[in-house]
Amino acid sequence: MTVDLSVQLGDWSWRNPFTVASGTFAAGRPYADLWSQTATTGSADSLALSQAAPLSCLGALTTKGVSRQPWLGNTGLRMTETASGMLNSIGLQNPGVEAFCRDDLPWLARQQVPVIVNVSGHSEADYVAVIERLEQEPAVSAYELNISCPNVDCGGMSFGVDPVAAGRITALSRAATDRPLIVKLTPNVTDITVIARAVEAAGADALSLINTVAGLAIDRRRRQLVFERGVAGLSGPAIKPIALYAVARCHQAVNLPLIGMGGISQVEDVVDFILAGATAVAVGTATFTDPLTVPRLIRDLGQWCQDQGVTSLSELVGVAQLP
Amino acid sequence: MMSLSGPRLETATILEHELIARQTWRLRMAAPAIAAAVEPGQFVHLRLPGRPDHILRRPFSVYDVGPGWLECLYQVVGAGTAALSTTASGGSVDLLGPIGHGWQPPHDTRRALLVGGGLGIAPLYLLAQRLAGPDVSVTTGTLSTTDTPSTSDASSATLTSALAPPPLSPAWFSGVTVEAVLGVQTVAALFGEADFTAVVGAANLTVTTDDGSYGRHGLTTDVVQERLVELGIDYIACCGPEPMQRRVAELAAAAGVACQVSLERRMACGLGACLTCVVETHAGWRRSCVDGPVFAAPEVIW
Repeated sequence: MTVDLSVQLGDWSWRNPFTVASGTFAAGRPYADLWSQTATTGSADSLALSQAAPLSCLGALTTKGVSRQPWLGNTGLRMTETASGMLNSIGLQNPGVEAFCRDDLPWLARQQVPVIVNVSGHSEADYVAVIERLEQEPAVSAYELNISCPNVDCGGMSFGVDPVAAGRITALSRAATDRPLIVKLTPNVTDITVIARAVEAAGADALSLINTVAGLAIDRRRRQLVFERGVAGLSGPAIKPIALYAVARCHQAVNLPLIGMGGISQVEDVVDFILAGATAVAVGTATFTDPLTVPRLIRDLGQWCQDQGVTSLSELVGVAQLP
Repeated sequence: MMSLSGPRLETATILEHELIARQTWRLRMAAPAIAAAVEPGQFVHLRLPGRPDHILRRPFSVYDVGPGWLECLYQVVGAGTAALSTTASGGSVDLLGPIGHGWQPPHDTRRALLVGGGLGIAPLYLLAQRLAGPDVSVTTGTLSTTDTPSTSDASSATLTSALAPPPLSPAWFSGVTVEAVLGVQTVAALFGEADFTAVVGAANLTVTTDDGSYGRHGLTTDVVQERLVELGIDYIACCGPEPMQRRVAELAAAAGVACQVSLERRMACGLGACLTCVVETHAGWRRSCVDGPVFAAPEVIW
């Protein structure tokens, strides 16, 4: 039996359903070296990794957030571990779109993997400017609008909690590109389907679900908050049920392909997200635990499909429906 | 042979696991590929065994290295390290390493001062060995290949390289006098004295305790200040609590002596991707994992 892991996001075909969660993978280089070396040494020989282009095993690569100007990110402590999770307050530190085009894109263009650039901004004009600049770059396959980061004061999540603002920024971005436009939503809203419908109506091609969950940590010795901004973003296995619920609800509410993410670390998690309505999935925090998580999941999903007699993932998408 | 450069994943077997001071453990692991590549000041990112609720690895600097093995020291500070401390010999741990830029003394270093506070002593021991002379374990002995997981060509090449001199400047190995100052809170927390004595000589080692329970009563920085006045120190390597490092950096700058510090930050990936472990420097944010952990002290904004 041959298992076909390829998936279809609208008109866009991926070789398998896997991408990486923005911000956990830089632009791929730190992992390319390790994955390539794994291919070389054969220390994980059942992983189908190419030595020359190790990232080509991915369905798509999603970059760290890219903004119009360089962003410094947040001061103070940036991360703390929680039970089955981690809180981060990075603040979208990145060198800006020009540096991205100069330093990362030429390398990415040689990796034989579709590139989704995560686009961040403080204003509507920022998002459009980043997209317009990247439209000149053939190495970019698609955009993921980050309107859901809890770790920046101006922009980020403030666009993603308001259906009007979310719709506007999606429409402006839509007007700037014909490439696939993914919008990444925050779970930190009362009803995520309201936002999902708004961005669907404004022309989004797909949704990424979910960004991190707003959370807090206390430094009890100093009797103060751990993070300077107070709030931080929770990720990891702890948030998987929250993410699954968002996927299942949006699957019901909109007619867009969904990229599910939040706590995926094992093949069972991948299957759960697909059954809840995701067409593709992203792996984030689990890559910190095991840098080979994604190659292992690609292998394990193929095996799971074999064992279960599943010939195409499309037959699973959204099978487990909300009442 | 790019596989010889960057960090790699290796399943290590615990060979010895010993309580060496209050809450402080020495962990010797069979990890031939990483051991062969470690440079002084680098670290390994260790996944805690048996605690799937602790999803992040922990960075541990490499204390000592020998044919096929490496040692890390750690303190029990929370549930994760407490669980690690109960892992017996024969158990395995998942390592990612070696990671980071280690110590880079100037090639003309003649007299080095190594300053360690608390667990910050750990990354200095390999440096002491390299500076003090070639008679160190990494360049002697033969490898046991019994625990070698792979017999591929790349793996064999890695093992062979363990027998060759480490790829550092030969200048490191000739005539450098090494002094060490090790500071701990109290005698119960002291470790490494015998190891350092064997490498640098008793006359070149000063132990300080904050409470005067052993050695010299006072701070490492007091000793640094005196040494900088009295002797021709031309390089300082420092690791420990940040106030101590900052003070040592100031003293070195005032004396015009080259100084490097090893900075620890909480980190997630250990590969330069996540940007959690950044250090503020005059060149902007730098990642303590792959840009550090060792930085030129004048670069750091304290």
